[in-house]
Amino acid sequence: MTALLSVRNLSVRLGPVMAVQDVSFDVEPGEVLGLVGESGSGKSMTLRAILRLLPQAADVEGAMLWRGRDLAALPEPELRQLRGGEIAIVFQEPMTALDPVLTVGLQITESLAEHLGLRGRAARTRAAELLDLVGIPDARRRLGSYPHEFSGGMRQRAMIAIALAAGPKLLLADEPTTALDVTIQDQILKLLLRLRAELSMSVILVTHDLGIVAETCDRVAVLYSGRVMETGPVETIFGQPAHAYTLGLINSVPQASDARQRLAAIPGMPPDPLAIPPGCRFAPRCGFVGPDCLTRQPPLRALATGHATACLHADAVMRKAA
Amino acid sequence: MSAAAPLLRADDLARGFAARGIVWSGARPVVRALNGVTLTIARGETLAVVGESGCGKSTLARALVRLIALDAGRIDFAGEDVRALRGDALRRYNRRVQMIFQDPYGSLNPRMTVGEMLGEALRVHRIVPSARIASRVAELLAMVGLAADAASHLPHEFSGGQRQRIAIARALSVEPELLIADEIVSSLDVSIQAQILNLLLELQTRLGLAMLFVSHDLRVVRHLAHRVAVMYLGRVVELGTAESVFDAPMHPYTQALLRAAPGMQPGRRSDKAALAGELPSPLAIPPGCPFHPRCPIAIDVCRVERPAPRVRADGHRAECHLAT
Repeated sequence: MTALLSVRNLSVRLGPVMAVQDVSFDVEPGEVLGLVGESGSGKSMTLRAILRLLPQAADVEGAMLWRGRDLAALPEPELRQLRGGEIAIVFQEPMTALDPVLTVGLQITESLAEHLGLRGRAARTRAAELLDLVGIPDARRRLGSYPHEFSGGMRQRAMIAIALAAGPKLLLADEPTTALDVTIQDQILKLLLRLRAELSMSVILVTHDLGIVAETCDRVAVLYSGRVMETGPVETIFGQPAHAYTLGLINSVPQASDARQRLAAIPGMPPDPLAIPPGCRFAPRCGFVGPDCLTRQPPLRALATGHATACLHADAVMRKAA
Repeated sequence: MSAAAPLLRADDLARGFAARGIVWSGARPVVRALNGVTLTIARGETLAVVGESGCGKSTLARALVRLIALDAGRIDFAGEDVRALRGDALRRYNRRVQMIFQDPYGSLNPRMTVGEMLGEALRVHRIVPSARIASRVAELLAMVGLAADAASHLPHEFSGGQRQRIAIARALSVEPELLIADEIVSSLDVSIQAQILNLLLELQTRLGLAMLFVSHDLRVVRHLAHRVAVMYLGRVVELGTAESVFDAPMHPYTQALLRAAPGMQPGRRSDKAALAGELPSPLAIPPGCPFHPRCPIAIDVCRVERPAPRVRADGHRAECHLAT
């Protein structure tokens, strides 16, 4: 299978801060890839870099191959055609991403006209179908509603409908459920999975929630302080984590079996982005650290097909996790 | 725990907010944030209050520390009628019951060093003699896992997790008996959240503190709570021990919440949403059981008659016509 999108050695520098460093991953057709990490891990930056949605001051290096073309080198007009066309994006805050003075219907038909040349009655019919597809009841009438007339969950559905208007092959989702209640979050995640299957599109899902990764993603890349620490199929990452940070993250989430017991929390804090330690950036917080970890950043190395870790002590981590 | 008199007892608490503005008025539509809330907290126990936005859980927390006035209901704390407290008695109550908020930055004075802030609390409530204040501040900082030199720094010099430690230290400085914690780990990264959960468990055991822990995160609630109250549209719809509520939930809303919370086992996925529909407008709470429009098992009686609590042998209770 050839990858739909191949990100190679992506680095993003914002002034003195290296926000993303040497990140590589592939997205296969029809899969949900998770980018998971805590604040400052670079997960959202990575996602935005794909569509060149970063601030002007950002210095981006690396290649992002989309069906053989490098998005990083694409002229702006062609990229604009791709944005919201073959590649669409949804954000955490639908209220800030939606235009508050345009009806939801108009925002969908705009995209239909721009990317598919659909206008008039045909566009309105398609727009209603899209709202219906994302589970907005009474879709035809709701085309005339403004974003503020929708609840948070309905706004997120509307934003997904707009994103789907041009029939994207890849949907980028940046913490799409973080601001929502748990039952609504569950509805939106199930909706994304259904749409992925029905429309055979791929999804990159950025999240800080390991539970969402476990329930939604096929593969995952775990980011820390701008770098990929580990990547692999979700069953492997949760069943047999091979990076000390991944194991620490999993152990930080309370489980039913350890109620009212001390969690094996990761001590300390992520490094100051202006003072990244020279070796493995997780070393100062790591329980498996050895002298070898302090001199250079360990590169990602493959453990099995599709499973790679940047941990020098992966064997010890896997023994502990087993 | 249930045999002794509870530390705090709340009976039938009610509070409405006018839909626009903050002045209560009978003429305007009223959001019933608390619509008859009854619960108890025993000494040394953690009661978690869980629910989605608009269920009234934060209003409840604020009402218990008298940041919000109630329209009706009674709160007893160690035998005293809290709503009637004035003057010194109210100040004493405000020392014995401490609140910690979700955003520690908003609740810490930005111009006071951590040492000044903790020292002020100790001085105002005369917790230790003046000569002992500096050493007590150092003890408090050590207790919450901060370095002693934190005392000379301002709040903005700390990370979110450290600020939450400062807020905890300040709450504990006055030796309270009950801690009211409103979503205090919700905005923290998971690795920092785990550190704060460990700290709370350790302090609670060591100091014998009671805690009302408000959260929307079921994983965190299960980890900390002895007992759990589930709120929906201003009412406690289920209340029981944590084991009982999580392992054998009685109310269909609790059952849906538990199914909706993402688990950590990739193999146990479902492609069906746990609960359809959205929260109804709190301005128009449905008649009968407030949950009936979203309930997958509702029958005719649910649409007209508010369910009386059903109680299991262990005291686990739920407001559902069909609960067993």
